[in-house]
Amino acid sequence: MGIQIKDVSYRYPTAEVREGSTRGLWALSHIDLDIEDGELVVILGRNGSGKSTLCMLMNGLIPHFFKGQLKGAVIVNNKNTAEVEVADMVKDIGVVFQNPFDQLTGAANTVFDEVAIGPENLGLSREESLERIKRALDEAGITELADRAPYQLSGGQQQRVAVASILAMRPSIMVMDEPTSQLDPVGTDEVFEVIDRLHREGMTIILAEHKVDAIAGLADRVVVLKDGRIELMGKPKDVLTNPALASLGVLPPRCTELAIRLAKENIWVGDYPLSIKEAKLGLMEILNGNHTG
Amino acid sequence: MATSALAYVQGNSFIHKLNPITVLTYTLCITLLGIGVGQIWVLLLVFVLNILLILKAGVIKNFMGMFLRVTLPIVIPMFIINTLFYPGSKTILYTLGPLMIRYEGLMFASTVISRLLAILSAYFLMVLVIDPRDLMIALGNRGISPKVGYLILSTLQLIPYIQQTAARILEAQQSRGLSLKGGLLQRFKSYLPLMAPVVMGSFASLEIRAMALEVRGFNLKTKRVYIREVFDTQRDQFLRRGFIVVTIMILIVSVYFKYFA
Amino acid sequence: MKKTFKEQLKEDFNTTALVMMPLCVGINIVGQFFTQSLRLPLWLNIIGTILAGVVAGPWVGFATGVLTNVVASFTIEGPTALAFAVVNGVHGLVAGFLAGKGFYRTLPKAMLAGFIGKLCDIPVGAPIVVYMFGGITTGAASAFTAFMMATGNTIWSSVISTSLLIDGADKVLSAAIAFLIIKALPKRTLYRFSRAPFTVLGEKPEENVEEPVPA
Repeated sequence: MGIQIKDVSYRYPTAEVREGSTRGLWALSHIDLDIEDGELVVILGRNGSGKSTLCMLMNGLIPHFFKGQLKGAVIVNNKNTAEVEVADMVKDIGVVFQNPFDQLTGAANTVFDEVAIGPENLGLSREESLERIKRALDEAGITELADRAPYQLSGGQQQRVAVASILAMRPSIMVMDEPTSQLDPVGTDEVFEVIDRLHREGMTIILAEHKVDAIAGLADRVVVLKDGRIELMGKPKDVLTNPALASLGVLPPRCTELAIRLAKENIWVGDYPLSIKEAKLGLMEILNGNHTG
Repeated sequence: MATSALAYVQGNSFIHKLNPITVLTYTLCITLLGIGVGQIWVLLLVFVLNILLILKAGVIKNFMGMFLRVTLPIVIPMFIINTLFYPGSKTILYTLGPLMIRYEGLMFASTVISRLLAILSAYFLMVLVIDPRDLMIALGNRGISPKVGYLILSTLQLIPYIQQTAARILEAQQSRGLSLKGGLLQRFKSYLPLMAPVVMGSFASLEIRAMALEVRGFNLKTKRVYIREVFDTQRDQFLRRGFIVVTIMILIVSVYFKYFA
Repeated sequence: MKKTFKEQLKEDFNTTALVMMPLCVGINIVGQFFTQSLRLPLWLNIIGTILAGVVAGPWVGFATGVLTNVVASFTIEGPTALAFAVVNGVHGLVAGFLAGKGFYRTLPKAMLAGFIGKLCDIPVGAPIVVYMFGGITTGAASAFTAFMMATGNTIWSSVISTSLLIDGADKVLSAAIAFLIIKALPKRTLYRFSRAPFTVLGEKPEENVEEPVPA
């Protein structure tokens, strides 16, 4: 079980070498990554570093939907994604994309009907489907929206409908490609709340994100990509405090950044904080007499 | 611009309770009859029958509104023009100054109108009484690919949305200086700057839309089981067979009278 | 390796084509909306159908045209659109076939393709207009038909000449606009479809070029 990505390199069919880009033709080069069940792995990197490509590798969209050239192997729940159809992976792994609106099928009048589409496609009995739909709505926190028309919801609500729609298929793995990038702060919080809850319930989650502050306390592991290669990988407190982060186009969380700068002035002592809470505690200690003049 | 709303009107009549395919079969049979039968009185009888059904379904008001709005602008000019100007007309019935009302034209126009009334009234009945969702589920239960259902239902939902988007783009471009007035050429030039954002926006969303469908099992080969139940009763099957048999019989009789009697 | 018809259809109606079809129906509708807003004396309501035919093949084009009218008949616009579903479809079909012969790679050829589409839709549409609607549908075109009949022409020649001249201009212009739009679509999008790389970019299906993996 889990995910094993073994020495994967991938090239899109329309790949062209662009002037001034160091990436070259290959969107991903020699990726080795193992993900355990229940882990929340966050993928960081600047735009074009391969985050989305990595996400779409996991359920077979690459190579089946995008064609192109794929080297290496991606094994998900003991299935090689190159050897099975995308449709065969839907029970194992679900994907949530950036744009909430485009993920609505448009064939459902209510949120309930929209979430029902996945189970209906799976051919489950009516009872089983109903149970899954109710549960998925609950897990995504949108039970009260069940009778609303999907096209009339806010971005954050629509994104949670997308999440519920995938949850109704009961995958053991969720991949999310920048799910909050098109949402306002309220929507962002709503989605991160759901991610947190799913993580605590044991779902394996792969999350590509820019919002470092939000994920710092959430992630079990952080992977940083640049030009299609893994440059850093490890626990958040190791990766997010690594000075090389800036050169990879990723900013550390603001409180970590603050602590790093304070450390340069010899004010900060000890481990760097990853959350505002930790930062507060650290600052309190310093102000209470732990600092050097 | 009016947003296109569904014609469907909910109700509890016995027609509403029928399987949508039964109603569809009825409508198709009427279409065949309308095309194959030439006798005006038969066509008008069919029209009256459909009106009675519409009354029974409780949708007469909706029908009247739609029907008059849609058919009158077509029927009235057509009647006038054909009665007066139908070529090959010789028999003059009535003279009104320089205009002559002729028999052949009158017959032609009357036949066309009766046919139109008979067939259109059946279609109006159908769209007023059938929920497209139920129709798609009923078709799906009979083996039609769920992708057809997807196409029709998602298009139906998309239409009001894209109309709103178009109205918004119209406003936005106008506030950027696009003029709706001016000479013909000027107005033609304004067309592309309006269409371009709509088309580009639509095509840009295709990739995610397609992937989202895939991950929901769109391409699974399993037989779908729909939460919403659409029943196909004995009565439905009996009615459908009845419609087909009666239609064929009427067609045969009509052809006989037309060519052999 | 040549594909069977069934295989080709499966490729044409891939998931991307299926999500494109409702959007092309939308483009048809919006196309007409904008002509009304600009008070242009045309319809321009088949641009989406042509787009579908060119990028995904004649059968997808046909289905898009039919879909437009079928869905319109479920709305309060009423079922008269249904009568002309096949007519709309024919334009998608013809656009698709001609695109396969390269007609949509240059503007003049695209406009010619539009006109050919008109020629093909007359045998389908004219009988419907005559038998179902007595020669008159709506709008300025019907005034022209009336004029033709009043001056002694038969109903058939009136309807056909109206269709050819007045609606013909509409179809030629629609094809032109479709061409301009297609030219602006990004390459990456075109690759999602079965026919677009050839019909738009003129690329023949090539053998998979294997690039060497980087170090």
